[in-house]
Amino acid sequence: MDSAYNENLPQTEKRDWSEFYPFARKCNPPDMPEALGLGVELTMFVDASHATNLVTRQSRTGVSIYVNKAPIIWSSKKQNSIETSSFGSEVMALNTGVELLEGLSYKLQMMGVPIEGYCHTCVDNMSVVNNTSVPESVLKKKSNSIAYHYVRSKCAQDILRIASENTKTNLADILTKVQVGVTKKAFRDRIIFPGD
Amino acid sequence: MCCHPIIVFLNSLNGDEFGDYAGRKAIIKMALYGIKSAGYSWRSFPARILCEELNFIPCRADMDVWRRAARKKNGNRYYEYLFVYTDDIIAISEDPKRILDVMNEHFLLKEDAIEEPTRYLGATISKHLMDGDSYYTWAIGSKEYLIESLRVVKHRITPLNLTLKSKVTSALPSGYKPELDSSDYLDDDTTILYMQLIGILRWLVELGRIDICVEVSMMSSYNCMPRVTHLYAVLHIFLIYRQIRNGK
Repeated sequence: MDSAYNENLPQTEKRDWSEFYPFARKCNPPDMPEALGLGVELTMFVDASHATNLVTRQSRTGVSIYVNKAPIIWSSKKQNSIETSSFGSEVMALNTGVELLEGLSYKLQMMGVPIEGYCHTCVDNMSVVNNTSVPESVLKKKSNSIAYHYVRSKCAQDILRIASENTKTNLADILTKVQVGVTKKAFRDRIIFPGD
Repeated sequence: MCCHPIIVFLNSLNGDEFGDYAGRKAIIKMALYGIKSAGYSWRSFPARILCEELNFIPCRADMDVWRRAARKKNGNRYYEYLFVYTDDIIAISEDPKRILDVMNEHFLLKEDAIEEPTRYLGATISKHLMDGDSYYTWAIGSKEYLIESLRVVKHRITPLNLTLKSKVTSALPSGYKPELDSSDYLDDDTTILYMQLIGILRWLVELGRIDICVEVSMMSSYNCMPRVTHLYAVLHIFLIYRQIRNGK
């Protein structure tokens, strides 16, 4: 990401990751075409429902990625690992989300679509937000450290920034739990355009 | 489309009907269905036209998306795109008809085949004027696919004489946990029906029904060995859509 973008950010969003990931650089695809036309903004919503499978206690990952205002990728998958904490399942979900995001970014770049700024990533777990957005924070748990460092290194490469989003408004919530009634309708109305 | 002679090997065709010719090379003078290289021939022909005549190049990230740098009337540079799926082509440009007219010279498209898209790969394509906008916004939807899938499902389950609820309130029965289900396993024929229903639902989600993504994902886990109640749960998802379509 160009440093000019970082300089224009408010003070609270400026982060210096160089001390922790000194070699992190954003790498564009090698034979990427020249980006033409208007740029797009990426937004990602990530959520996990911890241990919802009553037999195996596996968690479920929900990810939805928006290009401008249009949902382009949505995914709901049972996680492979069994996590002992909601923090663990959220980090693993974020890991999956960032991998999907990298794939989409590559596709857009190879199609010549300019991507503006960072991908705004919304997570509803405050521990995850702190651990992945503040360079100085360290992970107390040894588990999940791979996913933890993976996501942090992508932040250091200026691919994304993590932000907190309330569970009630996190659009990935509908991808992790079976919602009913009014809650489901509220989410559906926000995601799907009813048409005529 | 491609009438170039192709050399294929008859190594696998060593039945009695080939007699002494079994295992020999053969030259095919007419393209037939089922040749392993048919897909290659089909693809290489339009690819040559798109590259040589229209100067489009395929994107490395998705070889079915072709792009060409162009200039708008206002002078801004942009990319024109072609989405090519076998014989379905969508052109995205300020003047898409100009591109398709050139293609028409080489491919002999059907009469009136060049028009604004209304369907693509089963998806309903529509355009809407949003509040406050002076331009149209394109939308992709599952309306027609949903109507057709409801008809197919009704036809497929009629012989089973299942007793289904007339009114449902959610995509899955309230509090239903498929992992705790201990009903009998389905027989082979009904298992195939279950797989088909999951296939339809997966494509519905792909076309934009994000609201049933989690339910379909949960039920897909039991695709290879579904139980009786799993089948009812999957039909439950279709019931809620039937209800919405009927305006209840």
